[in-house]
Amino acid sequence: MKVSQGAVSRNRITMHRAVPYFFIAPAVIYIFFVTLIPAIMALPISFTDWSALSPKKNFVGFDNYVRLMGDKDFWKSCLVMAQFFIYVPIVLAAGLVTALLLNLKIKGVKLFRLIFYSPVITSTIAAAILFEYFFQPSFGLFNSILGFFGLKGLGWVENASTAVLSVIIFKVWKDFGEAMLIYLAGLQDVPSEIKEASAIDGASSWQTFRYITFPMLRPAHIYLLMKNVIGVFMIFQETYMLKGPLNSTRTVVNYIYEKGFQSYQMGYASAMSFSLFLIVLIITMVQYKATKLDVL
Amino acid sequence: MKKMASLLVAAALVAGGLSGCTKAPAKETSGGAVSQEKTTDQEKTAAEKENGGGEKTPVSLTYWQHSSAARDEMMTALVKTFEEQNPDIKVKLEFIPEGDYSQKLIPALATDTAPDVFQIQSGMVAKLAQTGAIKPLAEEVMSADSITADFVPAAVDGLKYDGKYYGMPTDLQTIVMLWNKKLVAEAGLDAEKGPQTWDEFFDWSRKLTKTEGGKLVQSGWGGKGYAPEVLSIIKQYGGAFYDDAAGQYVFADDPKVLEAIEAYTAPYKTDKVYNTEFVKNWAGFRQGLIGLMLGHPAMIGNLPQTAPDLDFGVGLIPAKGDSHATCVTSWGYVMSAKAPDEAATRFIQFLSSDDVERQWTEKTGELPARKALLEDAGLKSDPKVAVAIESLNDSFVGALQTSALNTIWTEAMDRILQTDEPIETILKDAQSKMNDELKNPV
Repeated sequence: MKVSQGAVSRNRITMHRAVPYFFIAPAVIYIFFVTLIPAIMALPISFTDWSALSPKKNFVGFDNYVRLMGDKDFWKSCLVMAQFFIYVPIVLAAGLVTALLLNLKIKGVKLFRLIFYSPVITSTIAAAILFEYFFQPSFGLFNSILGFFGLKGLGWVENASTAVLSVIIFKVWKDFGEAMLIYLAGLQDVPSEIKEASAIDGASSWQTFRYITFPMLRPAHIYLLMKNVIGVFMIFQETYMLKGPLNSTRTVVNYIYEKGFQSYQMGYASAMSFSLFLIVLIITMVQYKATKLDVL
Repeated sequence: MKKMASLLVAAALVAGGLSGCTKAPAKETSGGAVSQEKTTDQEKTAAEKENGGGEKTPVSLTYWQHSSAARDEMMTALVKTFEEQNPDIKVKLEFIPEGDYSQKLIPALATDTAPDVFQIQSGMVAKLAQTGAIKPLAEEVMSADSITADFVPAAVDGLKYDGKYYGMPTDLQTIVMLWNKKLVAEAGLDAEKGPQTWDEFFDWSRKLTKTEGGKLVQSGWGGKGYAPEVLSIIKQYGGAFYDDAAGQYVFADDPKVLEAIEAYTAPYKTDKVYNTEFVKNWAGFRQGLIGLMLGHPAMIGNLPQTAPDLDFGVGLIPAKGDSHATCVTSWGYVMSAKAPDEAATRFIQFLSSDDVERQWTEKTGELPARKALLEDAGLKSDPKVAVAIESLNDSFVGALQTSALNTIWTEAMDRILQTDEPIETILKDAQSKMNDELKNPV
């Protein structure tokens, strides 16, 4: 049988288009079964009083959602979570400044990149245990530094008013390396011709950064903004380990964990999860509209 | 539209991650972040079988425990001994980091894939028994009468539901008193004896406290409301914490409870002998910054390893009148509904035997639950361990032995110690939350 050249070419094009899907298929299948399906299954559970200790489930309609509306602890945990949004601009700024410094042609730059990125790949638990010691009021590193400059030590995690700040410091240290890496990649993509042209036109370094480099990093800004905003909604391990008094660091996810896995109120915990999902959805949509997203 | 769809999927993924709940970290475990599985040579169905040739196929049991290096190593050795003594039973061990334990166990119970034998906090026994997720010990192997006769009541009472024993105790702890001998001697106090009554104890805590320029530099006592400590003093003051007949918490309605809590918190609130912003209490005790502590006897084994230079004394919890009553906390070995009764009970019996309990006490500082061991000369040869064992003579079961109840209690104590809210209001809130917790359907 003779196959026309056109058909062969079409087949090649089809194959060419299909290849990327083969590469992403394992991840998509994994996410679909391990994350998406369980997430969807949580919705019907949220309409029951299931304890997770037995198969018995009673349909309770919207009771869990009604209860949620009046649950002061839930709303307090939302407020705690909201405080963590301060972390987003800080981690972006820290990542950007470090990336700009490491984009310079200086000796040992690769070593510095490695050092600054290493917290990202360090276990959150191990790092948090270390920071617990750093935050110790009497003999911790941070108060020693404050004392060196003649400043009064803080209670850090042990004080309800500075506990969130402590966790933010830890989280910025842990995550800024990732922002640095993304910005570094973005900086490589800024065409040197444009910067050279601006220099010839007499632009100062600051003006070059302000009007050329910074705007051209827009895809990196948007990606990091969305990723870190969503990350704030998922803060759990950091606040599980560095727990402040009076529930000062209990985020929504910590509260969901308490209700689901300590109080065995899986129906109620599912209702909270879904409510949080709706909040995340709304905020993500707002972000999408506000940034006229073109990098997804 | 496509972007919106991908946005929806992205948001769903976030919610999925949340609804599944981010994996809880393995706090304070030393067994590594990944659960280790150690399998013995046979894995078969959980029922004793006999093949055509008349040879018995060993029954296979699965066993889960929350992990720590010392416990894992010891349990592995114990299982080896058990299998040698019981060739008809094989045990498959699985050690799970403490932070992941309930997240792994609860779904397993819900989906009928729980191990045959496992550890749970003793406060969970009644809940799981009610759901039918666990079953009573096989009477023909361990009769209720023999358990009542052989074990310290406070160690096994919490493992009973509807008149039947559902498990045997492990990680049994009371509350004892520890003091830094050097700091006590410097303050001109008796470093060998320690305070005997609460009045003496509170007096010592004041004498051991030092400030410089209004700033705390040495704490007299690092008490911050740990539930078993407070339950102990409440009991000694004659307060009613939980009403067994009504099945409800009643502490907020009892003036004696209020009196006990006021006495317990006065050193912190009024005398300023400690401040949580000074140093974490056990870290401070190890560093020689805190004079007195109340804590579990497990610290007797822990401190020489974590603070080798610390010279400390151990005594019974202070007394109100003649009563040194101390609160017992424990976990329990239990078996799931699908476990082979006889084999699982034999394994639990072995784990709570004289010999095994003696080993736990010698190597980890856990207290023995068998009455016979309370007078064991070998165990009591170490004076510190002897005090810990003696504490069991005046002990009672703690009424806050689940994570949820402990969380509520910790919140309440934080509020009492760190805010100016009236104690009565805080106790009423906590009581209401705890009683709600009891109402949760199972």
